[in-house]
Order: sequence, then structure tokens, then C-alpha cells
Amino acid sequence: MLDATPAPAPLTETTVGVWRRLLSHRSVVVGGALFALVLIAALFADWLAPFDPVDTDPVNALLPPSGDHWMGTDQLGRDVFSRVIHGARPSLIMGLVPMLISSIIGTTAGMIIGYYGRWADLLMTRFVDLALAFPPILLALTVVAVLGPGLWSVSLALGLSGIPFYIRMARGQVIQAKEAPFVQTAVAIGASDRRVLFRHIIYRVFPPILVMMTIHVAGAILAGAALSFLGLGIPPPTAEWGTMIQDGRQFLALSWWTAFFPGVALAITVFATNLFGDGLRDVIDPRSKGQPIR
Amino acid sequence: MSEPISAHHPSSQDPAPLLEVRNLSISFETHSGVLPAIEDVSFALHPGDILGVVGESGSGKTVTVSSLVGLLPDNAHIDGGRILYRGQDLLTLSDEKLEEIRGKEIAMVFQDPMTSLNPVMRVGHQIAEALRIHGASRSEARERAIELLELVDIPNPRQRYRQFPHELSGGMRQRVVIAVAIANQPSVLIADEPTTALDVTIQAQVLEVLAAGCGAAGASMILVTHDLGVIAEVADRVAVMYAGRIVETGTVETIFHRPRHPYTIGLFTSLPRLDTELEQLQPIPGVPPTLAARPTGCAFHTRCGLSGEREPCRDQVPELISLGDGQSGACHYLAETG
Amino acid sequence: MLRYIVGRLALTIPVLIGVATLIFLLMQFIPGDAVTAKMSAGARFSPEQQEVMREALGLNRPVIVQLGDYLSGLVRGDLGRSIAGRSVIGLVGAQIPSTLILVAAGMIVALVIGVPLGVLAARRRNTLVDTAAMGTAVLGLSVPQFWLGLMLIILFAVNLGWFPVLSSGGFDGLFLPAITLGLAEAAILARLVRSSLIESLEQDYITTARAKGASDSRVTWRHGLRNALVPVVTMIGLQTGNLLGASVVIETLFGRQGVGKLVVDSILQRELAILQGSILILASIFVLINVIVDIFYRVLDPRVKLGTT
Ligand SMILES: Nc1ncnc2c1ncn2[C@@H]1O[C@H](COP(=O)(O)OP(=O)(O)O)[C@@H](O)[C@H]1O
Ligand code: SF4
Ligand SMILES: [Mg+2]
Repeated sequence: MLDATPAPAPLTETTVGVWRRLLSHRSVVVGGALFALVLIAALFADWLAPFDPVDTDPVNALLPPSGDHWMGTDQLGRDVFSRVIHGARPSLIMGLVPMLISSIIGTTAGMIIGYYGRWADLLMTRFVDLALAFPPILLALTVVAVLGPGLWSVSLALGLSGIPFYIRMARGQVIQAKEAPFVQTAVAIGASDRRVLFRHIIYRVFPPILVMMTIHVAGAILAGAALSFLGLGIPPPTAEWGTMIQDGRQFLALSWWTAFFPGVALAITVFATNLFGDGLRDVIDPRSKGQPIR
Repeated sequence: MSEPISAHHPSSQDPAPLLEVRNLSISFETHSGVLPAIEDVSFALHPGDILGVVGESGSGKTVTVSSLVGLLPDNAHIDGGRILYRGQDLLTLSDEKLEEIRGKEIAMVFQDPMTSLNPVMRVGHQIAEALRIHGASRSEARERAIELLELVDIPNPRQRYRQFPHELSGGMRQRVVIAVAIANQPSVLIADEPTTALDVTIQAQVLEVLAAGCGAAGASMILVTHDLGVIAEVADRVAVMYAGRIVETGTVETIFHRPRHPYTIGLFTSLPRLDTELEQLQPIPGVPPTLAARPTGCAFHTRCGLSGEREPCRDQVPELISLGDGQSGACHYLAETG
Repeated sequence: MLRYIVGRLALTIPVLIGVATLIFLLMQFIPGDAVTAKMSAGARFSPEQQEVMREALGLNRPVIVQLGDYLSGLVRGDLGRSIAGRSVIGLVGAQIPSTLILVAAGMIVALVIGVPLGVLAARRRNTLVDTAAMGTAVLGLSVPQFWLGLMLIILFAVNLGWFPVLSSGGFDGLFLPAITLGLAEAAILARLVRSSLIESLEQDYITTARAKGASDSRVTWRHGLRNALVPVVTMIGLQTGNLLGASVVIETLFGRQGVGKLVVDSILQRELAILQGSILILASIFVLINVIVDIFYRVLDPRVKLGTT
């Protein structure tokens, strides 16, 4: 078959080495471990939380932290600790779903226009420039205004507004990789376009995209919480960190704990993701200097 | 290039050297451990002299001269030795004291003018800065910088003063670097391969500017090069380096007429000359060793035609021995090359 | 230089038209229109009345015609009218200074904290100081601004009483919002300044400067940082975008007037014309600030030729 693969793609040869370096990188390990904790909280919230996150108990409203209620209770008497644990779920969804939406659509589109170039490229780059002319979060905000509040509409909004970043990155990488010898060889021996793109070039595109994905998760979690805080994200009574902070805001002078703990949880989650992403960048894409996507 | 452009005369018998290096050893911290780069290097620079330092790439020329002004890379370590400037050991000076000497008493011209000038600073300001650092007023520095531009043969100095490095050709930039170096009338000028990175057609001109600038500043010079032609042109004395050591030293006349060390001889026979046929060229076989793979004994023994398989060459480091007339060599079998 | 500036400004025109078109089209997807918005605000109209109003407002015309109308309105400085019939350009325009002041203050906080922190980390690279500074920076990137703001309010406004809880105006009221806004950007800047400065300190011209006898601090600030700033300036342009976006959250949090607060309020009140206008203004400010940044970039880096874009 003419399609026989020449020179294996650069990443695969060193996959073992990359794993070893990842597992010995302090940021990756610490960030990964913290993130795993949050993931466990999200998956097993029903078992881990001592109380029901939405059950109200007005008699016991705004109790300070104690042995019974480690993080106190909120204005409706709900256990803040249980709500913080349950809050991991929507936050992770708002972090991971947008990342998946933008990375899959954006990377594919970016690779295709970068590879084929011409008018599609011209059109797309103009469009990406336009989308990037919006201050981050504003585009998501507008899309939320269109779709209405809710977990999935926020996820979709953040997912759509992240696409341009991936298009730009993937396109740039493909345009560089097209000139690389191993790609030229593949083309010369007659590999199909699809094969060249998805078997060869993709290994050049993947490392920076992977780093972008982790950093995007961090940004999307923050943005999702911010939208909820503004009352445009996840409506009450669902336990969500941004909404909880907004709720707690009204009782700030009386009870700092209602807003404090969800914020700490949020910060830890985002910190873990950023740390992990930083380590990942050190290991697989040391030259790049990304800026966070919001 | 026919007439020697040096105005100096050999004066190696002068009693008090301006700069004297004694038993200098420097090593680098690398991935493969701490590796010695410079071993037991000694030489002296006398007032008014031009000392040429030759050797293949990697022999330690840059490391040696960088250490003279405290500009070694971060991973370098000085293991021993003394660097005496006017009798004062530079290695024992504080950073502040060293800064006072750097650029004022001892100045440096670098190899690559494309990278050695600050790309976002006007060239005039870069010259003026050297003066300002050592106490000149703003207007003094400016006037003097323009004079210096003129001195290094840059036309329209007043306009050039305001230009940025990227607006100048390589040769022009190197003249600016020279102007920076001679700005404070230093006593010692160190030029590390000052013409290597330049277009061959302008190398001679720039060398001339350098020698003239050195003369105008009244400086002595250490001129590092791997080009024996350059040495013949301007130097009074020569030190030949191989694998971190000085293997032979002497006046230009003796080294060029009676080279004794097999490495020095190899350098000459590998040089294309008008009076030899091309076929007679005998490049030294092999390549210079890397830091991690320096041979034992005489480091040259892996490439030396004279060595054969003789044991002393493999086991014992040859000492630098005086051969008279200011010439010395470090080889166990100098008697056979006389 | 003047020619470059004019050319660069001219280039923003198609971008701004594109941005306006994109916002306009997005708005078309929002359920409801000016008439239903009035009704949900309490007004009662019969279906016939609604029809008449839509006709009068031109809402029955094809989208493309409405778009043309909107764009030609823009050229005349007309951004449409609110539900209550007030001019959007007047409403939004009145809020621009407040937002610009906030963003500028946030940027100053970011620069004043971020640049020295980055320089410190670079000069002490791979030491404990560096690790601590960069750890703090990642943390700064990770703390949600709206929460940080709240905590600052509790601490400094409620408990210590140093600043007003709500930021009505004036310098006192600007302090906490600016800090809240600037810290995350300070973290981004610190990281970039560090890596950029480390890179520039390894260049040959640094050795040349040291060979002149320049002191460590002169070498770092005059030569190293001056060169390191070139990429930093580009980042600052992008960061203004972050700041403008975050103004939405900060203004709401501190109850501060501004275009950002207008965005949130108009979404909650279904004031589509105001929403459209506010977003357009924020995006335009972003685009224009990037023009300024581009110009500044060319001043900072003489190698970039004027006249090329
Ligand atoms: N920073 C460094 N770290 C490790 N090794 C170095 C460093 N700088 C120079 N070396 C090594 O020291 C030796 C001498 O280098 P150098 O003085 O630059 O040679 P030359 O100038 O004669 O070409 C070379 O083998 C070089 O690889
Ligand atoms: S000591 Fe031996 S190996 Fe070294 S130069 Fe002399 S003969 Fe050659
Ligand atoms: Mg060298």
C-alpha cells in the first residue's frame, strides 16, 4: 500500500519518556492530585456529603462552622459543606464541557483551514479575528443571553466562545508543520490528505493544544462561576459555587462562611488545573507562552 | 594585507606586566558533572603589547578571556590561579570594584556584532553609556561618543549616533562595538574573534580600525582568533591553546619561523599558503575533543603525529618548558621538533 | 508615524463593522423583541397594537434590511433606543468614563505589582524567592475575582472600615475594585515578565553591557527589561480585553456605575438595544486600545518598521 507510514510521528517515540517526566514533575503531581480530589467529590458527592445540599432548615439558618456543620449553614439552613461538595459537579461540567466543545470543533477547523489554506482560511481567520475582538467573557455572556440561564447553556456558551483560540493555535501549528520533513516525506510517498493531517501533522498540533485545553478548563470554571454569580448561570437552588457566593454576599456582615468556603473550593479547583497545565507545558511544550482563555 | 599594521614592537622583556595570569583553572558544571575547561593557564601582557591567542574552536580561548573581566557564564567555577592587573588580583575584588575596572581599565570587543549591541538602544547612546557609567556628564559623553564614531571611521557620525543597530551593516556595527570598548581609553583591550563573524571583504578594514583604535587609546591588546593570518598581521606575541591549556607561546617571529609544538606545526601545515601546493595541505586529523572527552596525559595525543603510541604522551601532562628567546612549549618530545 | 496611525485606525473600521454585525446577528437569536420586552415590563397591548408597534419600529422588515439600518445608524452615532425610548448612545456613553477609569486603575495595579514581581523572580531564578513568587502568581490566576473582591470588602470595608463597601466614585471607592481587577492580571504579567526577562538576560548585548562596567540593576532594568518589555506590551493589549470583560463582574460586585454593569442589567431586564450598544462599546474600546498598543509597540521596538501592519 502506498499509504504505508513513513517515519513515526515525533510524539509516539518518546511517549514513555513523556509519561515519566510528567509523573516526576512537581506541578503535574500536585495539581493532578488536587484535581483528582475535586473529581472524587463531584462523582461521589451523594455519599460524601453529610447533608442533603438543597434541604432547607430555616431554624438553623446562618449557623457558624461547628462540629455538626463544618462550614456552617446558609441563610436557608442548608449545610454549606454538603453544598460545597455538590458544587464540584456543575463546576467541573462547566470546565470540561466547554473545553471539549471548543477543542474538538476549534482544532478540527483550525487544522483543516491551516492545511488547505485559500479562501476558507482567509474567511476563517477574518472570523476568528472578529471573535477575538471581543473582550473574553463578553461573547459568552451574549450567548447566555440568547440561550437563557442554566448549566448546559452556560457550558455551550463558554464552549462556543472558546473555539477561536483553538482555531488560531491549530492553524498556526499546521502551517508550521506542513514544512516539516516528516510531513513532506509522507506527502511525497503519496499519503492521503486525511492521513497526513490526522496521522502525522496532528502530533505537532497536539502538545500545545493539550496545554491549552488544561488552561481552558481553569478559565471556563472561573467564567462559569462568574456567570452564575451574576445571576446568568445556574439558577438556585442547585448547589453551585458561584451562586453560593452570590447568596452569601447578602449576609456577608453576619456570616462570612457562606461565601468564603465556596470561593476556597473554586480557587483550589482552578489552582489545581492551572498547576497541572503549567507542568504539562513545561514537559511537552516548553517553548510556548500561553495566556489564559477566559 | 601585506604590510603589518601593528605599530608596536615586541617588548616581552619588560619587567612589570600590565596583566598577568598565573595557573588559572576553570571548570564548568554540566549535565555530565563538573568538567575542567581551563587548566593551569599562565601568560602575561606587557604594556604596549598585542598578544594573540590562537587555537581551534573549543580550545578555551573565550573562557580564558571572559574570566579576565569576570564575565564567565553562571555555571563556571574558578578552581584556582590569579589574575593580576597592575599587581592587583582581580579574582579577590568585590563586584563593585570589578565594575569600576570593567569597561574603564579593561574593555572588551565581542565576536558577533549582530547580537552584541542592544537592539532597542540608539548606537550613540550605547557608546555614551560606557562613558556615563564611568562618570562622564551627559553632554561630555555625547560629544565624546560622536568623536569616537569618527575615530572608528563611521561617516556622518552625528546622524549615525541616532540610529539603531539594525540600521547599520555588520562592519559598521563592529566599529560601534570597538568604539564602545575604547571609549574610556582602557589600558587593556580584549578582542574575542573580532572579525570572525564579518564578511571576508571587510575583515581587514575592521581589523585595521581595531588596531588603530587600540593605538589611539594607548591600550595593550589580547586578540583572540583562530586565524593565523590575523596574528601575523597585528600581534607581537602568540599563545597557542589546545584543550584548555597553553601548549606553546612565543614572539610572532619565533612561532612563525620555528614552531616547536606538534599542534602549532599542525596549524601551520593545515594553512593554505601561497608557497605550497594545495595537495600538500595537511589538516590535523580528527577533531578537537569535547570537555567530557578530554584525553589523558597530553590532550593532543589522540591527534598527534609525533606521539605514535608513546606512553608519556598518554600518561603525563607535559609541562610548559622554556626554549629560550621567550619561546616555551608543552610537549614531551620538543627535542625532536627543534 | 502619523501615516501609520491613520492607516492603523482605518484598518479598525472593517473590524468594528464586523463586530457590530456579529452582535446584531446574535441579538436576533434572543427570544422576544422590543415589544414583548415592553409587555414583560408591565405594559399591555392587544395583538393588533403589537402589530402596529412592530410595523412602526421596523421589526417586521427582513433582518438584512434591519442590519443595514442599524449600521447606517451607527455611522451617525445612533445606537437605537431603550424600551423607555431613551437614546442608547446617551445611556452607554455616560458610563464610558467610569469603566475606563476602572480599567486604567486595574492596569496600573497589574503593572505596579506584576512587573517588579516578575523582575524579582527572574533575577533570583530557580531560588526559593522565584518559586514563591511564581506560586503566588498561579494562585493569583486561580482565585475568582468576584470572591476576592467580596473578601476584600469584608476585610477592609466591613471590618476595618478603611474603604466604602460600595464604590460610588472617587478615589476611595476605586481602590478595592482596582485591586480586585488588577491582581489576576498582575499574576499573568509577572509570569510573562519573568520568562521574557530571563530570555533577554541571556542575550549577548547583556554581556556587552556588563563589560562596560554597568551595575547589575542597570543591566537588568535598562537593557534586560527594556528588551523584555516588547512581548509584554503585546500581552498588555490582550489584558485590557480581560479587564474590560471583568469590569462586568467587578462593577456589579461593587455596585459601581459603568458599561459592564449596564451589560448585566440590560440582560436581566431584556433591554436588548442597551445590551447591544454596551457590548459594541466595550469591544470598540478593546479594538482601539489595541491600536494604541500597536503604536506603542513600534516605539518600543525600533526593528519593527513603521508602515507595516
Ligand atoms: N557555559 C558553558 N558550560 C559548559 N561548557 C562550556 C561553557 N562555555 C564553554 N564551554 C566549553 O568550554 C570549552 C571552551 O570553550 P570556549 O572558550 O568557548 O572555546 P573557544 O573560544 O576557544 O572556541 C568548550 O569545550 C566549550 O564547549
Ligand atoms: S606530548 Fe606527545 S602527544 Fe603531546 S604534543 Fe608532544 S608528542 Fe604529541
Ligand atoms: Mg570563542
